[in-house]
Amino acid sequence: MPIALGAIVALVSLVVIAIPFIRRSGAVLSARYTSEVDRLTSLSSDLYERIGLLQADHATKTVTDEDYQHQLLELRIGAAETIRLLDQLGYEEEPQNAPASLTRESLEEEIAALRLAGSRRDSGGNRESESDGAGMTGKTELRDK
Amino acid sequence: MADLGTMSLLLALALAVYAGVGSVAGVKLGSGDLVMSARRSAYMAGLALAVAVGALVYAFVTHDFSIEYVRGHSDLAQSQAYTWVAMYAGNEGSLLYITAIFTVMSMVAIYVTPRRLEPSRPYIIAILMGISVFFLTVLLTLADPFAPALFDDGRAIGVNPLLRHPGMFIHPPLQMAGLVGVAIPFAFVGGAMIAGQTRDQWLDAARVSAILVWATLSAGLLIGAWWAYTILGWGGYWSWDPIENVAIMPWLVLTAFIHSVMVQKRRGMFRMWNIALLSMAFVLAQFGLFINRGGPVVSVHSFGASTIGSVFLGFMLFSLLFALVIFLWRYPMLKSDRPLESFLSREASFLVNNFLFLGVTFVTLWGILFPLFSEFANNETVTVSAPWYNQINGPILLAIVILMGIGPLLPWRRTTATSARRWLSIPVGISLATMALLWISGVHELWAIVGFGALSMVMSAVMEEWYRGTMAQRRAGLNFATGWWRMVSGNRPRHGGYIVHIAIIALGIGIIGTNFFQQRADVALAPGESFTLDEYRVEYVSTENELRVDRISEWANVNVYKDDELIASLAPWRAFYPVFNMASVRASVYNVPLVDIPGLPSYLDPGLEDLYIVPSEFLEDGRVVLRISINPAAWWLWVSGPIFIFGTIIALWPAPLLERRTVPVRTRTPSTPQTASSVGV
Repeated sequence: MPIALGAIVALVSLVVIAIPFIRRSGAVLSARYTSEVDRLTSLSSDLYERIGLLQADHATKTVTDEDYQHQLLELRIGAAETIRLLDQLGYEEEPQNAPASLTRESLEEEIAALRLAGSRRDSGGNRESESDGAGMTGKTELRDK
Repeated sequence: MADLGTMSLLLALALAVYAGVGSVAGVKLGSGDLVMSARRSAYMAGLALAVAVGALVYAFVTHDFSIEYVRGHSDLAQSQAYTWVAMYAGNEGSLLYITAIFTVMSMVAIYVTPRRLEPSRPYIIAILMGISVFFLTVLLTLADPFAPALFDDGRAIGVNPLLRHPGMFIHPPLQMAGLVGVAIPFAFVGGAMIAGQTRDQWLDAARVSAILVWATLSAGLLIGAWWAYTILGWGGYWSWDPIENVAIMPWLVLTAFIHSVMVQKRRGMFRMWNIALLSMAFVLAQFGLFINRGGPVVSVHSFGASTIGSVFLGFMLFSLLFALVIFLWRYPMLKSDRPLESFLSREASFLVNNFLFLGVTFVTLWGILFPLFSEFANNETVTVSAPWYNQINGPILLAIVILMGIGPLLPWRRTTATSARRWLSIPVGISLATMALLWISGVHELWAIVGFGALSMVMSAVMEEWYRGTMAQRRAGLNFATGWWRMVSGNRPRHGGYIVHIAIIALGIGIIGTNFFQQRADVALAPGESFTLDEYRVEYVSTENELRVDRISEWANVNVYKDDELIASLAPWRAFYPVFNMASVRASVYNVPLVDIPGLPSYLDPGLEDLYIVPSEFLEDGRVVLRISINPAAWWLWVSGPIFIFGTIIALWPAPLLERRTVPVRTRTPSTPQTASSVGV
C-alpha cells in the first residue's frame, strides 16, 4: 500500500511536469516587446507609489516644501517619460496605483502641452504658452533631459 | 511507511534537480515549455516532501518502532499531541522538516514571483531548488529519518523532556522556517542579478519576503524566550547561548535590511548595500544551520551527536562564494541613483542604524567564534557568557533605541538645524523629563534610567508623527480616528513599522525591568514555613506527587500573600525522567497587575511584575528548595508579540481595493514594437 501510494505520487508528478510539452505551446522566452512593456509598467507603478508616499510625507511635514517640490517634479518627469515610452509601444493601460491627483490623463495633457510648446518653439521662436502654468518647469526639464 | 517516506524523498530529489537544471536550460535553449515544466516540477517537489512528512508523522502516530528515528523520539507513554513535536525533535526529523518547509515556501515564492521578475524566475527557481537538492542529498545519505531500527524490542526512548512544553509546538517550526526562509529574499536578489535585472525589479519581492521571514524569526525567538522562561527554571529568557546567537544574527541583519530597503524604495539609494545585507543574512543563516547541526560549539539546543556539521560548513562556504561572485559580477551596475546629500537626514539615520545592527551582529559572531579560535590557537577552552555580550551589545542596542527616536523625525535628503530642533525638541524633552522623574522617584540605576529615557523618546517620536499626520487629515474634515486610520493607510510600511517600534518599546521595558531590577532567592522550606521576598510572603503548603510510566512528577503547593492577603495559590512542578536521567521543571508565574482590569484574567492585566516560583529540588526530609524571583515588567516582554504581529500585518497589508484605480484599456492599434533604446532613452 505505501509503495502504491508512492507510485501514484510519482505518476502524478510525471504527468504534471509533462503537460507543458504535451500542450506544445511553443512559447519562446524573452519576448522583447512584452518584457519592455512589463519593465515600463512596473516602473510607472513604482513612480506612482513613490509619489503617493512623498505626498503622505509632505502631509506630515517630514519633507520640506522645497524638497517636496523638487522630488515631486523629479518623479512626475519620470512618470511622464515612462508614459511616453509606453505610448510609443502602443500600450495604454492605466497603472493601478496612480494617485488621484496624478492620472495618466493629466500627465498626458502635460506631455501634449509640452509637445505643443516644443513645436511652437521650433516653428516660431521661443514663445511659451501662457496656459502652461507652474507645471511647465517640469516639462521643460523633461524635454531637456 | 518507511518505504513511502524514502520513495517520496527520492522523488523530491529528482524533481528538485529537474526543476533547477530545467529552468536554466529552458532559458538557454529559449524553450518556454521546458521552463514551465521545470517550474511545475518545483511545485511537485513540495508535494513529494509533504508526503514524506506525512509518512513520518503517520509512523509516529502508529508507534512504528521499526524506524530508528521513531524509536528514538517517542514512546507509548507520551501524549499523542507531542507526535508533532517528536517529528522534529531530533536531527533527522528536523532536517526533514526544514527541507519540507523550505521547499513549500519556495513553491509559494515561485508562484507569487511578480511579473516584473519574470526574466529572473528561472534563476530564482534554480537557486531555491539548488538549496533543496542539498538538503535532500544530506537527508538521503547522512541523516535518513526513515532508516530502519538497529533492533526493535518494542520499547522506545521518547521525546526529550525539555521539549514537552506547549511552546515547542510553535517555537522550533517558526525558528527553523525563519532560518531557512532567509534564502527566499536572497534567491529573489540572486536570480535578478544573474538575469541582469540589476535595478529595483527585485525590490518589492525581496522586501515583502524578507519581512515575512523576519516576522517568522521574531515570533520564533519570542516564543523560544517564553519557553526558556517557564521550563529552564533559571528565571531568565535569553542567555546568549550559541544557538540563540546564530538565530538572532540573521534577524539582526534582516532588521537592518528592512530599514535600508526603504531608502532604496524612496530615494533609489543603497542598492548595493541592500544586496550585501541580504547576502550576509543568507550566509549567516547557513552558519546557523552549521552550528546547529553538529557544529563545534556546545549548546543545549544543538544536535550534538550529529556528524553532518562539516557538510553544512561546506555548504555555507559555497553559499558565501556564490553570493560574493554574483555581487562582484554585477557590482558596476549597482550604483545608487544619487549620493547621500547630508549626514543629518533620514537616509543617513538609516545608514547609522544599519551599522549599529551589524555591530551587534559581529560582536555576537565573535562571541561564538572566539572560543573556537582560542581552542585552535592556544589549546585553551574559553567560554563567552552572557555578561560579556551584555556589556558590549547593551550600549549598541541602547544607541539603536535612541536612533529609533530620532530617525523617523528627520526629513529625507537633509535637515537644517532649525527643523531638527523643531522636530526633536518634544521627544528629547519628554525623554529628559522621564529620566528626571525616575531619578526623583528613587530609581538610581544609570543604564536603566537612560534606557527608559530612550524608550520614552521613541514613544513620543511615534506619537508626534502620528499627531502631525492625523491633524493633517483632520484639516481635510476627518474625525480623529478616521484621520489616524487614513494616515496609516496612506503609508502602511512606515506606520506598520511604527507599531513594531511600539512593540520594541514593550520589549525594552521588559528587558530593562528584568535585567536591572530582578530580585531572587533560593530557599529550602518545610511544609508550613514561609519566606518573604520584598512585599510577597511565599508559604510552602504541601507536596503532591504522581508516578507515571515515563516520569516521577512532584508539585509544590504554595500560597502567596501580599500585605497578609492571599493573592495566589501556585503549584510549580518538577519531574524526573529515568530513561533520560534528566529532570524538567515548570515554573509557576503569577503576573502582579499594574492595573486590575475587572473581568480580565490576571495574566492579561498590564503587568507590574512576575512572581516566579520554581522547585529546584524536593529533599528527602520533606523540605522543598524553591527558587523565588520577582521579575519586574516581565509581562511586557510577552505582550510585545501581539503588537509586533499587528504592526507587521499593517506593514505588509496590500493597498485597499478602494484606493486602487482601474481604468479600462483603451484600444489602439499598437505601433511597431520598440525597445527603450530605440525610442531614445
